[in-house]
Amino acid sequence: MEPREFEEWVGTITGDKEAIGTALQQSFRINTLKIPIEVFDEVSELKNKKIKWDESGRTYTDKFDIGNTIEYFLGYLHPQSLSSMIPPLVLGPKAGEHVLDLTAAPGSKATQISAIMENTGTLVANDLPEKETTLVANVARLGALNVIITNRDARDWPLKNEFDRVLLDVPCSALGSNLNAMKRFSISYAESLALVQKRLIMKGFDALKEGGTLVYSTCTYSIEENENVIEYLLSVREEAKIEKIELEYVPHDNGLTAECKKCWRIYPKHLNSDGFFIAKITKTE
Amino acid sequence: MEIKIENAETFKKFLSERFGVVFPHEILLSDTKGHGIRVHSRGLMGNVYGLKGFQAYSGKNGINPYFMQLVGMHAKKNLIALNEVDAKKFIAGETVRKKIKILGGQGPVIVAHGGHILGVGHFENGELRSPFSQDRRSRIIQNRIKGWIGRDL
Repeated sequence: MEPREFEEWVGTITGDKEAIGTALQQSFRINTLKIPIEVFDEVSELKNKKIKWDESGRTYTDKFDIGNTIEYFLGYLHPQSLSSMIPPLVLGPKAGEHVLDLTAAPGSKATQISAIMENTGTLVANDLPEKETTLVANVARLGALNVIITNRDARDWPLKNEFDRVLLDVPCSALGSNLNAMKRFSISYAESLALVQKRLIMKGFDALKEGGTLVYSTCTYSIEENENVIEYLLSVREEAKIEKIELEYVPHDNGLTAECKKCWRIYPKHLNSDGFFIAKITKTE
Repeated sequence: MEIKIENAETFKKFLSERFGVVFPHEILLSDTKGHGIRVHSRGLMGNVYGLKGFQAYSGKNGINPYFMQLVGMHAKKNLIALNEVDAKKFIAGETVRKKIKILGGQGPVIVAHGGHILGVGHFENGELRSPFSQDRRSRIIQNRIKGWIGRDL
């Protein structure tokens, strides 16, 4: 799409042409697997600001390359956008559970899940073989010990009824995280991606145990890749039920269709961070 | 000290004898086919193929410094604390000349600065060799050492 056409299209989706025009805030997550938060705050000289909804998330404004800091080298922090920290919080994994991150590379959310689980239970972090290197490197640097790395094409994921929780952060048109993505974006492109996303959400949902929780997320705005995918799942799996997202202090809009009002749309105007769509679904008994 | 690490059991014994590291009950070392010795938490689910945990040791690259950053704080011997100048050199992949007393002869030592485990180096003939590469990024990171406040291990 051309910039003008894209702006108008965004306006029809968000109801606000300015929703995505905000300058993005830099952020990182303190890795509690290697350092307690209070110790990090005591020893680190990186100027940062706390956020309300997650004590390990921080924003910063200083101009430094976070990957070139001693804190990064020691695995004390991981650069991660504020909105990308939200899906693992919505997933809410508990210590000792079996959790699947179906499309895990580069491992930001997977290692966050590992930290929330305090290195207990099992986290199966899956992605394609060509993405394994960065995933392995982040798992090692951040000291995540409860991880099994697999490299299947997620469309052919074989395990069913195994996991307490599944995170499905699918490949998408990435309009929320990359402004250049608008150049290749079109509705037909979104529809073609949605075909893959529908297959992935089926695999993710079927991998859940009864009573389990699936979190579906994208970093894009199109209804085709978001609400339509959720509604597709609801239409083919009667045991799928959308849940209200219980996370305080996070500004957001609601999903755009009647069935998806409980889903969240996070635009750059909300957090000065990437745009995200998040849905929480349970497998009822 | 000559390292003869053939499997997870001998690696665990080596870590115990060399560094006095006693593993917490929930951490395991396992042999893998072609992926060296891996470290992972106890209780990972079965029936799933894939790489469990991350590589702690391989015959080719030796002890993984990230593994040592995790377990180094449990060491009771052969842990040396570098001053700021030497810590910078170590991070930047340079060899540090130092007079230190090593228990059990020459070989791997855990390296710390200001209470932070930087990794594992190899001490031989008065020289501490760093496992890190001498690249541009390492030279930038080394300068972040300045003013680093100490941490209790």
